[in-house]
Amino acid sequence: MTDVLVIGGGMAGSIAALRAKAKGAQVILSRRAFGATALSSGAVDVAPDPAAPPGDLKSQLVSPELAAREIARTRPNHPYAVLVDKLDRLKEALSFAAAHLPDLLCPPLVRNALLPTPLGTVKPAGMAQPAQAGADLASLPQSIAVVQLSVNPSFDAQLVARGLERSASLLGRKLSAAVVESHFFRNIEDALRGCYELAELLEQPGAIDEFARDLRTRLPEGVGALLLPPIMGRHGSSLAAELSNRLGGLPCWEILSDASSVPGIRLQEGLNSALTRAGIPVIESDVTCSKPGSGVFTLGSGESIEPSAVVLATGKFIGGGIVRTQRFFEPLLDLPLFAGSTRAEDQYIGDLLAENVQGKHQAFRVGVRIDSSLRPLGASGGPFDPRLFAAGSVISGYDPAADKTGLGVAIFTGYLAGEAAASLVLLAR
Amino acid sequence: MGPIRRLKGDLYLAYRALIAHPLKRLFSTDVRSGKQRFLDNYAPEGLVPMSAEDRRILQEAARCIHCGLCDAYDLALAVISRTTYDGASLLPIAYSRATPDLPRARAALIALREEHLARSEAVCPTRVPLRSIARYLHRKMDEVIRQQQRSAAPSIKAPVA
Repeated sequence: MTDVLVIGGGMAGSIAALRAKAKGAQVILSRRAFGATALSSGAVDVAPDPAAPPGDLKSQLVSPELAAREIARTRPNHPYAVLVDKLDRLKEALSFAAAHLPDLLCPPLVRNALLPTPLGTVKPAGMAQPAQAGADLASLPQSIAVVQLSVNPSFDAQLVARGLERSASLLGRKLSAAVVESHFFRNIEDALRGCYELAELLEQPGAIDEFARDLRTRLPEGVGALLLPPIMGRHGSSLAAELSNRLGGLPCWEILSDASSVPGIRLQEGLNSALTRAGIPVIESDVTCSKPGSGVFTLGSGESIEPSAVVLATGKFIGGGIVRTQRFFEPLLDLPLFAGSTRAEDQYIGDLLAENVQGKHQAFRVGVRIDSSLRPLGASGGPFDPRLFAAGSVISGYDPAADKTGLGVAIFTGYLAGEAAASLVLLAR
Repeated sequence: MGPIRRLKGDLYLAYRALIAHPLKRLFSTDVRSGKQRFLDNYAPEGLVPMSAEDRRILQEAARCIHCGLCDAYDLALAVISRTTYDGASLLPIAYSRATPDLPRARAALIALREEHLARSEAVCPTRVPLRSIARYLHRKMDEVIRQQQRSAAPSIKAPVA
């Protein structure tokens, strides 16, 4: 018997499944494939300060909860605004995620950390992996070094170093960032390897010792911390700490990743392990529903199930939860889609995109609209189905990447949706 | 387009189809079929006919968003030299772009096994059918090489200018 069917296995779906299970429901998670979580930076962006002018990094050193409240106050369509009455549980949700990913996520941070990206910028994050959290620009020592692998041209340590110096000056502090070139990878084949392979090679027995030996000979005097490309372990995030041990305690931190992302894969695989530990069956297939509203879903095996509650956590364009071919549509239940407060399905795409790259692209905020109980709204404006809940980026009103609230919203809505679905089931028993 | 220009265009096409083309065929000494003439002209360059099924596979390859997740789970990377093969993402974004280049990917395609790609396909966010694409590429590569060898044989007529 299935109490709760969770559709989607990224951060939102996994947290929803774990929460529903923790509340005592029988849960099945079905996912089509990996989604945006596996392509994420590996850190959890919860809420930047929406009022901070561009370049004002000091304002970003704020509590993620306070920033989330400010977002809720100023952006009425954002999921934080719709769920404003529950925002006092944001930290509880983040802690729940950290508890289920004990080796992969640090507990929620008291204030946003400004973590370096491969583009030389910094990103406000409310949670991060242990290897990433210490690279907070506000707490880095005055003299640091950024490691350039001689074979990895896609990572530009100079760009990171100069970007960090500039960001530090915006923060009102002095920072000196040197570049150290490592020749640990020196085979001709290594130059052709992608980040995933390099990360696996560093996990080979003895590799981290040799990497440390190579770096030790090249480190400039007086360096207080070492920043590394995001390849510090394909399967776990302890390599940076191991390297630190071998370098006499010199703090070693991993820079956030862009896609393709080793830390993102670690996060996704960490979620998979958490689901396995919790005893939640994961079915890798599409789910279909021939009659939306009937509550009957067909799994990839052809088996039809009628769960007591469903959590829709299918993501947006990458995950396949929202599709646009000629028009926007939600492929599973044909739910109404919104851009802001207006219906999006047949809107001209040009009207939903800004002319400049950094503008507000409503197209990336298209999704299902929810009520304060996370139930997607139907065409009439009321809940589409009282047994249906939504979580993560399938929800409208925010752009998971550009708004820098992506994984934070995923955890928060996943936590609440899983709980709501389980509560519904337990009430009916 | 105005109605007069459209009418002129239609009349010209009708003339080509009903008069010029049948007369040309009537007095032509070339007995080859259209497909054979196409192959004689283009196969030496590696351009071979595409079926509806081929086009369907290529449309599915076009779903690739270049995220690289498939490379993270590509078992072939452990067994094929990097100078020969650089990951499953090459199938939709590079190898399937142009049949003339397929003979250059021969070593990679021969070494690649479908079972190498099973997990890569399962994690692909946009469900690009990597194994179907690999089969398609094999088939097309064989076809290109076969056609090129046939074109190079002395008994085959030289390509028509």
